[in-house]
Amino acid sequence: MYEWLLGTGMSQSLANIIMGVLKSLIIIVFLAVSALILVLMERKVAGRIQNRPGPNRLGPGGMFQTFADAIKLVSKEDVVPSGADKAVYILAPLVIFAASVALWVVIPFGPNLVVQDLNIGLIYLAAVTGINVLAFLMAGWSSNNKWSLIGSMRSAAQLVSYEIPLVLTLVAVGMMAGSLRLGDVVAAQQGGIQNWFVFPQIIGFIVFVVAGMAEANRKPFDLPEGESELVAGYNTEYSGFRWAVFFLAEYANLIVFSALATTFFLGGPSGPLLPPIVWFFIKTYAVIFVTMWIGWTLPRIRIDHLMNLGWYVLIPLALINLGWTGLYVLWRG
Amino acid sequence: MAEREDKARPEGETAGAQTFPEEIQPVVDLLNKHYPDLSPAMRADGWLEVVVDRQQSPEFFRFLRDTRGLEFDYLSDVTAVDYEDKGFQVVYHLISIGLRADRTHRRLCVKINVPRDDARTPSVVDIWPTANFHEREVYDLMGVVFEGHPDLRRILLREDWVGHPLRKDYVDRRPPRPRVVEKAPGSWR
Amino acid sequence: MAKTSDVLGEQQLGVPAEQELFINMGPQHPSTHGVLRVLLKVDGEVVTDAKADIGYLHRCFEKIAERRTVTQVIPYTDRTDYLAAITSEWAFVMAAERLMDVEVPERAEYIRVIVGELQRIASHLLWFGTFALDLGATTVFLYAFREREKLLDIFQKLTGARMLYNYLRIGGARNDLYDGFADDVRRFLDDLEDRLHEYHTLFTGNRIFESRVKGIGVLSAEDAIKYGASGPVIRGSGVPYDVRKAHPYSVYHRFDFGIPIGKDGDVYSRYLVRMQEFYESIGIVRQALDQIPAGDFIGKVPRRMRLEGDAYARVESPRGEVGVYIVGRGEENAWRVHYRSPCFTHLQLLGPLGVGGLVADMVAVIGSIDIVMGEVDR
Repeated sequence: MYEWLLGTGMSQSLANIIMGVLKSLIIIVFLAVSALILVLMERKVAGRIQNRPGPNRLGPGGMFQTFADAIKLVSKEDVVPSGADKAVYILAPLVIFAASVALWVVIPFGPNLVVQDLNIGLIYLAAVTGINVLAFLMAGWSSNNKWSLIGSMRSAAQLVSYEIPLVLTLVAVGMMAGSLRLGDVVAAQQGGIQNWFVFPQIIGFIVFVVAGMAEANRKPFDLPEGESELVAGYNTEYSGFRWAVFFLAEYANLIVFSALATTFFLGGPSGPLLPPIVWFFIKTYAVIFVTMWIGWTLPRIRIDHLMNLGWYVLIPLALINLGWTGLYVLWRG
Repeated sequence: MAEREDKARPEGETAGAQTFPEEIQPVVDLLNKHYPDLSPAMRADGWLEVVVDRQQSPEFFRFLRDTRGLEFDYLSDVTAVDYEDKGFQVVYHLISIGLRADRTHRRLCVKINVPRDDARTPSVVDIWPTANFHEREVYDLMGVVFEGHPDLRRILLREDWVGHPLRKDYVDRRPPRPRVVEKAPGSWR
Repeated sequence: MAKTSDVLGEQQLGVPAEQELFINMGPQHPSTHGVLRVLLKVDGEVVTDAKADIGYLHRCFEKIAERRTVTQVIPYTDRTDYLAAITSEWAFVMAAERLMDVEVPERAEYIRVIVGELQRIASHLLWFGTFALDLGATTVFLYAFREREKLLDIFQKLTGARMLYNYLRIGGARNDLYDGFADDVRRFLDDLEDRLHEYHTLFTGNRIFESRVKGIGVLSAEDAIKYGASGPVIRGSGVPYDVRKAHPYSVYHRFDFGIPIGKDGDVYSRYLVRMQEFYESIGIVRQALDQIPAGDFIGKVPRRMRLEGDAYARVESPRGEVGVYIVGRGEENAWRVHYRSPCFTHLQLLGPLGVGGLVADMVAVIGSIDIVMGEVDR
């Protein structure tokens, strides 16, 4: 298509811009659709775990329930609380949404099916996930609500401390693959299940899943919005479409995290018989299912225990993993 | 009757207040020894009952809590009754629980008469901290002031409420609301 | 954030120090179990002061009770502790019976014990679910409700209502047990025993759960007595005080049951006490079903009731010691009715238990003392 655009006599930079817009539109649509599917999946999984059918009225198996909810959210009145810092309040959902969309730039859905395979993909991921913290702080601070403020402080503490083990495991993966480009990471795992990084990197995988769940605010790490404690945490004052954007970003983060786990440890889009993109989604949704399973079973962890887990358990484990990976790579030559 | 198998109700206890159940007798003896003019009486529901003067109440309560053999360390309830012309009566229900193994769970009901025009009595919060909310409630609904209470505010009603509803002479100052019953649509009446 | 003043907070808790913050936990908050408002002073997330502000549900039950005849008051007692309606009815009915010297037939006493203990199970099931929900374990909530639903079906079959039964009467109960009640209850109890095992495997041994509740909200035995705690709260602190044993009412002295007590007085101890009380209640109901005699379900009651004198009756409700003090002056109406609510007393403990912990611990503490606001505000 890029070539076709150039063929119409368009300048190279304009073609680049058009391609970029198209790609990001595709990503946004993909995220919105995935969020709809995930909400339904979450409800169904939670329902099954909790001994109830889940949504089952609207459409076959309650399929259209999430659409109805989405329509309801979009058509709600747009409320900005009095005393809120209006500009920041409005900006916060946009920032978090932008951050979660930007992450998708480097994730390969299949061979050559990637927006932009950056050669510093890993560093890019680590950098962009940091923007989430900013959005949470903005939302909590501007809401003029003490519960929101506490929630955003919690999320800042949580995200900053779980970023470190997350990045450390990614570094180990980069060492295994010998490249920071995500395409190379996937390529290094080609040729069957025995080449997946999950086996040499089992410690890294566990650390990544735990830290990733914390990054994505999944239960039992949903402290920034822990309902029974903080009412709704940083997004207490948000309603309607703005809240829906937060919600969307949250699910986008969940998919990103699962997609990263798939890419780094489970061989990415590789697999027999089925086309690569199908394999990619099968693996991603398997990881998502596991996080839901964990989340709906366990009670919520407490903030100081969470920090202890991050600093005293996950970071040392990640460091050990890093050292072991270095030795392994040296031995492998 | 609920406690007919219980030892708390022996035969003929209504005839004279002088026969007491076995486990209450030591309490009565101790009370008679230190406060001869109290004349404790047995109530039909198995509680020993004494009426105390409000001036002597703080030291009496301290005596009840600290004396060996009494040890009423548990304040079950504080309430007040409005007897109109006879004034208010503040009622305390005390139980001895204790940490030791040989518990008898003695029960005692202490009543304090409070005149209507001077509705105040010493607080017992420093003796039993649990009295805090109970006394606030009595103050709120009955208007008995507990002197020495650390935080005597209304607890159930609004801060700006006027009057004390459980008093028998309480008049609801709110204008009576008209009773609106709408006819159901399609009703033939 | 804009600077806001909190006048009421400053009145009650004093001016906050630098770095301290007032938070209103409630009246609209997911884990205050109704409309409780807790004023919190926090430093970061550490609670430095806490006070309960109540009265949002106040209906002045005691004033209403003065204007109605004794029998008419019974439905109102349901609405005090709406999760354990039978036990509040029981306390009121017992106090009125003591004033009038009404004989309660033996079968009626057994019916009361059975229904009362089933009510305890129902109430504890709800507590178990909501407590877990407070700690963020949503699944446990629905598991507990599944069992409670079966029990409420039995109640519905017996009394016609699922929560507010209006079932006990002065002198007995409104109606006899229906045919097949014993089988229904036995089947339910057998099922519940299996399910309790399931609950323990799901929740009790969980590492996150234990770290959330062990050593949190410690209440010493001395403090428990001083602050007038009762029920599972005082027993969790190691004081074996239970009205059913201390001053046996009804026919409780005929049953063989234990009083579970806790060791440490923390949230975990109170949790374990309640979990063990399930088994004790199951045992009592089974014994009562075996022993229940034939006979009347309601005794001879004078057509025109006259209340004379005063009486204080206490029962052990799922939450603690419920007491009803009635004064009569020879009329059909009570001159004064006072309802002693355990939760009202327990709310004073929020300060001593919650200070020094985190906001999340405050939630665990509120959950562990199992409050029902209808009973607190009356």
